[in-house]
Amino acid sequence: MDNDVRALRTARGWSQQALGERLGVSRQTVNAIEKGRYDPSLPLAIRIARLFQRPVEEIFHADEEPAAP
Amino acid sequence: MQTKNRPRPEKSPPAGGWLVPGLSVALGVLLAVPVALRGDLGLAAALLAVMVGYAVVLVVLSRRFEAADLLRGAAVDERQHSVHVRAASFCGYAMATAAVGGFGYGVLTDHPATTAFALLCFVGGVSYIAAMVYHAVRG
Repeated sequence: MDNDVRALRTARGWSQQALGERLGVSRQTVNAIEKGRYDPSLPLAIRIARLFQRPVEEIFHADEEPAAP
Repeated sequence: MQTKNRPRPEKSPPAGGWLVPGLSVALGVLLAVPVALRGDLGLAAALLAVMVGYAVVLVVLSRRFEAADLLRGAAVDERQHSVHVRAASFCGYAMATAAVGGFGYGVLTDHPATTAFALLCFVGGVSYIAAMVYHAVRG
């Protein structure tokens, strides 16, 4: 899943380690989320959204469903 | 050079504790002592060296490699828990394959270890079914 976590983090000048500490996850997990290698659980996605004061769907972009024929 | 100005990757302190390295050393001693008492000092030293070496490698590499940190017992968040679960699942499949393969080989060759492999298959099958029912009911 595509997301804007890296852009939001860098806009605040936070390192991955700093964001991980704020979220209670490891730096490697922040990196995996930013690269789209790991989709966070709903509770973690909500924590991220609350931290950045954005709606979840503004940060995480679900893949577009194929258009109906 | 461009790489000169590249920021160094951040390092996070290892989250894994001392339980796994400690168990590894303890297991090494547990294996080595009876072998040494039987008089095979070379094998005893080798067993101890392998287990102590594994513990040292985990401790040294856990600062740099997440996998080593996870093997050292770290699981600080949901992704790391998920990695543990998937690794355990893969290990379970490998063990099941070995148990079924050993049982099949034992039946074909009338090997005395067939009963042990049959018991492993039984324990694996029953625990898999029980876990499936439990987690399906629990949601």
